[in-house]
Amino acid sequence: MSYIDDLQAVFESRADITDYRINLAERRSLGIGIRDNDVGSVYSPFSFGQSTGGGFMVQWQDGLLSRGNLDGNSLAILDQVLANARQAAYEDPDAAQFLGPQTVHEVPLHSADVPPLFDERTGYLLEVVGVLQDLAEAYSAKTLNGGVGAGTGTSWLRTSRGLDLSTTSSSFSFSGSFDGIIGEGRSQRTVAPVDEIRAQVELAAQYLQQLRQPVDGGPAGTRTVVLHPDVAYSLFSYYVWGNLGGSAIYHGQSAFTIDDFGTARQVFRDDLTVTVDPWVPLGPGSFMYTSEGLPSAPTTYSEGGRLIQPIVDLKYARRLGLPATTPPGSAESVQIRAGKEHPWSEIQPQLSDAIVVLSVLGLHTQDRTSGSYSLSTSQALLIQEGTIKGRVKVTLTGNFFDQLRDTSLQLVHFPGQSSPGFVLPIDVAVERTVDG
Amino acid sequence: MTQPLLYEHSDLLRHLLDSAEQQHVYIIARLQRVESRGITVANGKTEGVATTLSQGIGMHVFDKAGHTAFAATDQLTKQNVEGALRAAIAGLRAAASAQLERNQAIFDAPPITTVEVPATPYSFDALPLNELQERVEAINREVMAFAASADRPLKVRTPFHIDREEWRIVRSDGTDVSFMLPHGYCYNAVTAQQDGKTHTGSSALSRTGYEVLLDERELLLQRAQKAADTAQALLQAPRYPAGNYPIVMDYAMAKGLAHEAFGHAAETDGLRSSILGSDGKFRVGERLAAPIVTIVDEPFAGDHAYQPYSANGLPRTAATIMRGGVLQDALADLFSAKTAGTRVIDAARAQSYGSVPVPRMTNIRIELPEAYPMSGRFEDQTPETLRAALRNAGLLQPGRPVVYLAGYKGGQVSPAQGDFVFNCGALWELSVEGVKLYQPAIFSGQTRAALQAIAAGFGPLQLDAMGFCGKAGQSVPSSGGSHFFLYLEPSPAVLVGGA
Repeated sequence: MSYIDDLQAVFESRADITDYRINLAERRSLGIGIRDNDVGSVYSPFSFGQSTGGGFMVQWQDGLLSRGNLDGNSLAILDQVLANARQAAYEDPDAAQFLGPQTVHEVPLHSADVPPLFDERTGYLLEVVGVLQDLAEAYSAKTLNGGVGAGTGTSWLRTSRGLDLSTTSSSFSFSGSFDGIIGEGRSQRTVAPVDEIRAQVELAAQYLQQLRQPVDGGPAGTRTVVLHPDVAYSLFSYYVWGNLGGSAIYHGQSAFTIDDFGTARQVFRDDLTVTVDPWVPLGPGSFMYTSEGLPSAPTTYSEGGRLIQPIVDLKYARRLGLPATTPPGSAESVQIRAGKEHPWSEIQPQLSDAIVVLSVLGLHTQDRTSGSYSLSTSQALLIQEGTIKGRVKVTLTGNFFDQLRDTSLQLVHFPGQSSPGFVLPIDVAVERTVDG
Repeated sequence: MTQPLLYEHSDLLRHLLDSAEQQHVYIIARLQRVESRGITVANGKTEGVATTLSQGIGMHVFDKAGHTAFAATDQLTKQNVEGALRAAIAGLRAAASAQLERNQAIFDAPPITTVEVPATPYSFDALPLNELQERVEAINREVMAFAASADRPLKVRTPFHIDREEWRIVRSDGTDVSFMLPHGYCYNAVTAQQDGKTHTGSSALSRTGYEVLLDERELLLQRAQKAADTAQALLQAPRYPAGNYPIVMDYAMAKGLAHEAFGHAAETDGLRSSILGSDGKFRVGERLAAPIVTIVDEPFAGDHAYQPYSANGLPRTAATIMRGGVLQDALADLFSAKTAGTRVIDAARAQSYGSVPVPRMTNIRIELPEAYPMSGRFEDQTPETLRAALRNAGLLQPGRPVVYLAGYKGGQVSPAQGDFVFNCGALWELSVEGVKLYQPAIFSGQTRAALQAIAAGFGPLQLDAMGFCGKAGQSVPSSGGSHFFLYLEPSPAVLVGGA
């Protein structure tokens, strides 16, 4: 019997447990890092990890619920774990849902080229490190940080009602950042070839020279601002996904109310659509089922700028009287679409005066529910007459919900980025970075 | 002698040390066990209760030349631990073959044997879970009752967490150091809504466990009431124009400034890309702040971020990062102190057995030699008492209002450039005419300019501003503070607000 079988057998044997759900994952990982130029140092060593982790929810005979964690040592002390859980039992009838067998759409999540990295191809990690070092040298970066890693794992989900799901998945990731200023990286399910890695990380390195050249940022006021896809999605995730959670809506701690969904309230511009696609083969944001065993499916959260549904698990689906939904995975599973979208190569030459924001500081400190923000750029570039002039430093102020309704908002697609950037007018305060 | 923590794994550790010796490698093994209880109550009702128990072992191995590798497993059996050691040694051989970075500092570390278990007023299971649940629910309901009007109820979320984190660190040189880190904290997140406007404020109290619900319940509620009152008042508050103003910040914001804008830049694993480093050396002896500014990091028993020994099994000592405005100690660990040109603090900490330790802070504070006195506790202070204190100190003059940044909502910094951004819970304008509340605004600028601008402190030191530090993808408790309030003169490189 495997570890999951042994665990399940104990849950099955307990007369005081009427229902259970067990989530378990076994994972292997390896990686090597670069810290302040040092490869494989004590802070960035060749690392190997092996872990077993997960959790359980049980319903006891008296109807109370308990939750707890599982790891590689749990089986040996499961009686103690369950005794602790019993002590912590609480009443939560809406959460007491244990799914039976489900029909799940099969999505490939495992790539056969990852496991050899743990054995005969471990040296490939050092090749990737070499690529990152070459880029740092080519672009005269004084310091390089980053790394490369891979993982494989299998997860199981079982319930007392006969649900029995299993997934095997793989991951590969790389990143490189230069002079502590700018970086680039990616996480995916297949091993990326070195040329692809070089091309991706070079997208960041190409900005280095421009970021080293401070220029006068021009006047404060409402300016055309280009939010790089990383920045645009961070704002979108913080304010939109952060307010669509069923728990926050139910408890009144969201910008949206449940009535907003019943009336399909118009909250974004009428050509904006937001969908989640968890079925992209080997997609980094893909998954076949949720941690509760709910099969995933392509899901629309906003259509024509109107709210369609919140993100609800089984508990909040019951409380809100809605079907449970597929939550967003990583940015790659999310599609933000507008009536008109443009490639960056088309938009840039048309910009007579604009500020390209590559990263911001302090997003997590903003009040999510109000939609308002005041953010300082850590890296931004001035564009004049379609040409990047150099680095500027500005503070951006606005309300993200208002901006998603702005008729002048444009979605732009940058090379190597899965989500769009946003071009829109934003109030900016400009900090002087040059004398004179 | 006191029995080490996690004594039941002594045979396993002995076996691991012997196996490493047979393979001619030096090993630092870190065994960790964490037991926790967490309860979340929302709007009067318990929404989640969880108990967790997790443990595992991580190991750093070194060859004689100083090459290194790391492995971890959560399965504490001989077979699995041997497997992890084999993986680590394979990585070590690969590192040597590829001539990767070497570091022999571990061979100079003195062997230590000790057990450190801090006193706590309550044991982990002192409160039955049903009573714990009732107490957290009662607090949540009391905070809900802080609503100013019955027709505008407050939405309140109250998580409580307690854990006991045990570490046992053994090394090939015979070191056997074990210590326990007790944590307990309670948050209250309060959301006020009116006419489509929403504001959320929060407060927290951290100690070692149940005392936040028992002995210091009144303090917890007093802080929550301030958060609730502010969230409701902010619904009507206007925005404050951006600009360079005289600033007063509370001790929580001062902790943010010290931790984010300064402490991270003093950590020795990143000095090549830090404003406090020059060619990888800490800029010891350079004046970077006003002569009254001293910044110290040190662990305190009973504090949220307490850690008496490092992840390498060495004593964690106090670091006077800046004394009188002049750089003194870096936050150095055993492995990078020499390169940084500073003494070993041993600042290495790790979130878990599976994490690679890095130099990082514990409790960091900004202190000034002479602060203006304030009577009462910090929680007794109001914008009005602060305004009075500023007037008495001659720092509030007609036509020159002072901006008071109250409450810390987090921040972010670029150590390479010295840029920082913090956000507050509320902004008050303190003027000769009175006090007025405005929407929260960011406080951003250059670290060095902010430190140069510190001109006065008010009240005694208050060091219990709690948080979690996310460096290196790990989350470890952090804390700190300053005098009740710090006053900063206006600086062109320090901005309040946006456009």
